[in-house]
Amino acid sequence: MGSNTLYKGADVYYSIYFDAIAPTQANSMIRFTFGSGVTLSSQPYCSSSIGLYVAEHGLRCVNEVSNTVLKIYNLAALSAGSRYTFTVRLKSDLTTGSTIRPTVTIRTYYSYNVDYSVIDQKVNHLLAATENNYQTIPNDFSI
Amino acid sequence: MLTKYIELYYYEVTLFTTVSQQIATASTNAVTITPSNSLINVATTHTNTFTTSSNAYALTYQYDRESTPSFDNKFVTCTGSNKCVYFGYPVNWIIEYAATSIPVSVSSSISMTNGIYGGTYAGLARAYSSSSLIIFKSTFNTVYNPNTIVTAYF
Repeated sequence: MGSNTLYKGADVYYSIYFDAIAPTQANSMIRFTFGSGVTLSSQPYCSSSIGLYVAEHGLRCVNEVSNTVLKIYNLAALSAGSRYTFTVRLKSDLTTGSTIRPTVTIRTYYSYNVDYSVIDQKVNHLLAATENNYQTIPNDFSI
Repeated sequence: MLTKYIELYYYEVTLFTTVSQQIATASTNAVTITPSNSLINVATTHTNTFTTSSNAYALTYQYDRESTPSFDNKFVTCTGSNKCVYFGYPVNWIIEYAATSIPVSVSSSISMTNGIYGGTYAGLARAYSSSSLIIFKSTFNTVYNPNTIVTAYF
């Protein structure tokens, strides 16, 4: 869901989805780790229609490590084979290069209470399309 | 005449004597664990290669309790004609012993279910002599791989 044109520091909304392989417990957790030129926006954001563990608490997402790891929790149990879709907000951090193709590593965790309980993962999944990095390709304008 | 009138207490005291023993510990891991399938939560056979200091009567493999499920208590034939006894939580041990002796280097075949979480998990292996004393010990790591998500979009 990127715009195909990125300006350094500008927030852009991206869609991520995946099909779970293994089920999780209720109160499970997901981590998205972003790389190759994008970081979380200064105000981390995520949205999803995924089922919640405690509805009153809402979908929780926090910037966990250096603006690159988004931890999403307060989730109901994930079902094997089900598709889960999220929207996140990222910004370009590239200072060189004319194009940018960010990556995301997706990990699902059996339980929020066991921080290392990863059961499914997809490492360095590429953005669907390469985007232009307007940090180094300034727009032409006419006088 | 002295006779027992009333007995208030009866308390046995047992004294133990102990022996101390120097246990050789591998400076590097003397055990390698190679599952035939390292995917989480699948039944598989681990090939545990253990190089001890001398022939042993029994080996124990103490698996982690974080990821590895509690073993079902059972008694089976494992490596060749060796026997293996499985003990579940709280110890999560597999004890392997032979009719005569286990050689210095042995590749044990351990049937078990892999851990339920991905990652690297530490265990402890020990070798015992026929007099039940530990003669050698070493840590080992077991690596379990999470499932790979097939369908994803970004």
